[in-house]
Amino acid sequence: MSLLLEVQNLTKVFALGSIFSRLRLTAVDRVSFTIEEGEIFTLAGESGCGKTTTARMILGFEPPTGGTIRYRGKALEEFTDRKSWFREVQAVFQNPFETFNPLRKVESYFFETVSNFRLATQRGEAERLIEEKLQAVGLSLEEIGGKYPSEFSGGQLQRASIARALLTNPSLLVADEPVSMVDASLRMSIVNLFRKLCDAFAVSVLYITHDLATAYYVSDRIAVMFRGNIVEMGKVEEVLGNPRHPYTRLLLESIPEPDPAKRLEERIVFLEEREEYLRAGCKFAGRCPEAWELCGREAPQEVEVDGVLVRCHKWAK
Amino acid sequence: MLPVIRAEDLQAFYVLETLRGKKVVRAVNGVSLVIPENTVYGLAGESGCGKTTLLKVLLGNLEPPLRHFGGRVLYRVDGEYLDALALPEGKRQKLRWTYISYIPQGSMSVFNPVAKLRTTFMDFLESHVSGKMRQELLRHAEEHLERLGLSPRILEAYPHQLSGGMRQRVAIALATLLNPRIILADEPTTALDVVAQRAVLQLLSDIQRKLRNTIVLVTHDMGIHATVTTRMAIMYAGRIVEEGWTQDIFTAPLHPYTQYLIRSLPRIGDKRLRESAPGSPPSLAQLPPGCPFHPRCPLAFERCREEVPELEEVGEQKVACFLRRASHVVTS
Repeated sequence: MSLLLEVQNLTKVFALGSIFSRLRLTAVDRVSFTIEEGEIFTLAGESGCGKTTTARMILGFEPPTGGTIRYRGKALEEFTDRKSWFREVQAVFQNPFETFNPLRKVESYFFETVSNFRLATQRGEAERLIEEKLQAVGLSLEEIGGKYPSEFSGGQLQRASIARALLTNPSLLVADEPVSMVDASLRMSIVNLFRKLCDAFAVSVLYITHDLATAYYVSDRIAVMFRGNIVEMGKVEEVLGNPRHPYTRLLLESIPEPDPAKRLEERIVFLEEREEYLRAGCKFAGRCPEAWELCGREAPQEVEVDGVLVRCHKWAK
Repeated sequence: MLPVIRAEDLQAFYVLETLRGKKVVRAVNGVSLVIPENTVYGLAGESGCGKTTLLKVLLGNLEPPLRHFGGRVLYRVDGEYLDALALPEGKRQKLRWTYISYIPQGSMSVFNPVAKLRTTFMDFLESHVSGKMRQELLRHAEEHLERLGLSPRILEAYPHQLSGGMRQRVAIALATLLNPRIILADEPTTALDVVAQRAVLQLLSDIQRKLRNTIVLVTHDMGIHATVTTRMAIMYAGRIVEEGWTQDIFTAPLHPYTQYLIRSLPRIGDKRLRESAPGSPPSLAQLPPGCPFHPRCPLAFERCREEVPELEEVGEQKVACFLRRASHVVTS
C-alpha cells in the first residue's frame, strides 16, 4: 500500500472574544497522521475535540495555522486551483437534507458536478457516468430522476450524496458523521457501502465519528482525539480492543451497549469544553481517574506501545 | 404494576389541504399502550414512524393540522382515570408540568436566547406556582438544580454559553421542576456525542429513582433502550409492532423489524457483516396494504399483503406479526 494523505503537525488556533482579547484556543494541536491507499481511517472523539476542524482543513475550507497536508507527496498549497484538489478529495456531510437545496432536483447536482469538472462532453456520456456511480451505491438515475430532496428517505439521500462525491473518481472521501442522521434500520447499509467502495474501487475513507461501534466495525486504523490532540492511534482492534489511554476507555464505557445485562452503573465526571482546552498539562487530567501531580503540570509526549501511539504520562515511563 | 397512562386504539392523523387535494398522514394509526408507574419506558422507532406525534397526543397537545380521529388517552391521577383528550383546557393546563411534562428534541428552542436561564426558570415557576414569593421560588429552583447535581450558578448564564449536553440537562431540570409523575422525553440525546449522552442518561435515571415516577424515553438508539429502559415498545409506520420487557425483547425479538434493529447493531470486538433491513420506511401518507412492514420483510407471505396484524400477546411479550415467533431473519 502506498501513502495517500499525510498530515503533519496540523494546527489551528482560534482567537476567542474581541480582537483585543489575548485568549487563544488551540482547537487542533500538532496533529499528525497518514492515510494509506484503500484504507478506512477513523478520527474519533466527542464534540469539540477538533475532529471536524481537522476535516475542514483537509478539505481546504479552513486555512491551517501551521503544519502541512500532503496528497501523494504534494502539499495542499501546491494544488494551484481548488478543482484539482477536489478531483481527488471529496466530502460527505452529516445531514443529507442540508447538503442538497430543497428547491433543486437532486439529479441537477450530478450534472453540475459533471460539467464543473468537465467529466463528459455529451449528455449521453454524462448520464452513463452518473448511472455508473449511482449503481455503485445501489440507486439508479431512473429512481432519482425528477425528484426533490424531500421525496427521499435520509438513507437514500445520503447514498445519493456519496454517489455524487464519487463522480470525479476521488481517491479519498472525507465523511463527517455520515450516519448520525440516517434512520436506524438503514444505518448499516451506509457503513457497509464505505467498506464496499473501499474494496471495489480502492477509495480511502477518512471516517469522522463519535460512534466507536461503527468505527470498530468498518475501519482499519483509528485515531482518538481529545481537545485538539490525538491521544491514541493505531489498528482499530488494538486501540478499541485493548485501550491504553484513560480517555479511550472513558469513550468505550460511555457507549450504550445493546445488552440489557449491562446497565449504566459507574458514574463519570463531566467538564466544560473551554475549561479543558485552556488547561496546562494533560487536557484530560481534570477527568482522568488515574491522573497524578505531573499530569496537571506537563503535557505528555507521544510514545509508542506495541505499535500504538499513546499520549499519556502513564505510558511514558 | 399499576398503569400511569393508557392509550386505547388511539388514532391521530395530520390532515393537509394541498393543491392536489386532501392528504392524510396516518402518524398514529391505532396505538394501544399501557405505561406502568415507577419505570423508564422506552419507545423505539426511526424518524417518521410517528413517535413524536404519539407523544403529542399523549400530552393532549393536538393542534391543527393534527386531528384526533379515535381512541382515548387515560391518565391515572390520584387513583382515578381521566380522559385526557376530553378534559377542559383549563384542567389540562393544570396537569401540564405538575402531572405530565415534556422534554423536546432540541434544547436550544426551549430557552429564550436573549434572557438568562434564571428568567426562564422564574417565568416558568411564576406561571405554575401561586402564592409564593419570588425569593422562595428562586430558592426552589436552586435546590432543584443542586439535587440533580448541577451548579445553581448556571442560572446566571445565557443558553448559548452552555455546551449542548449541559443545555439538555438544564432543559431536563426545568421539565422536572414541579416533580411530575410522567416525563415524556423526545430523543433527548440525539444531537449529543457519547459522553454528553451518558451524562443526560445518568441524570434521567437519577430523577426516575428519586421521584419514583415514569419516564417515557423516545429514541431510535437501541443501545440506549438496552441500558436504561425496563419495558419498551417498538413503533413502525404509526403502529406498535412489539412490546414487552426490554430484557425479553433483546434476547428474543419477535417482530422481523425488531430483529433487524437489534441484530444489525455493531458491537466492539465483532467485525462480522451486519445487514440493514432492505428498502426504507413507507410514507405515512401512502401506507401499503396489509402489514406496513411487508414490503421490506423477507418472511412476508400472502396474508401479510392483505391483512393488518393486530398486536397480540405471545407469552409476556406482544407482537403484531402473523408469524408470532422468533423467526431470526438475520443471523448474528
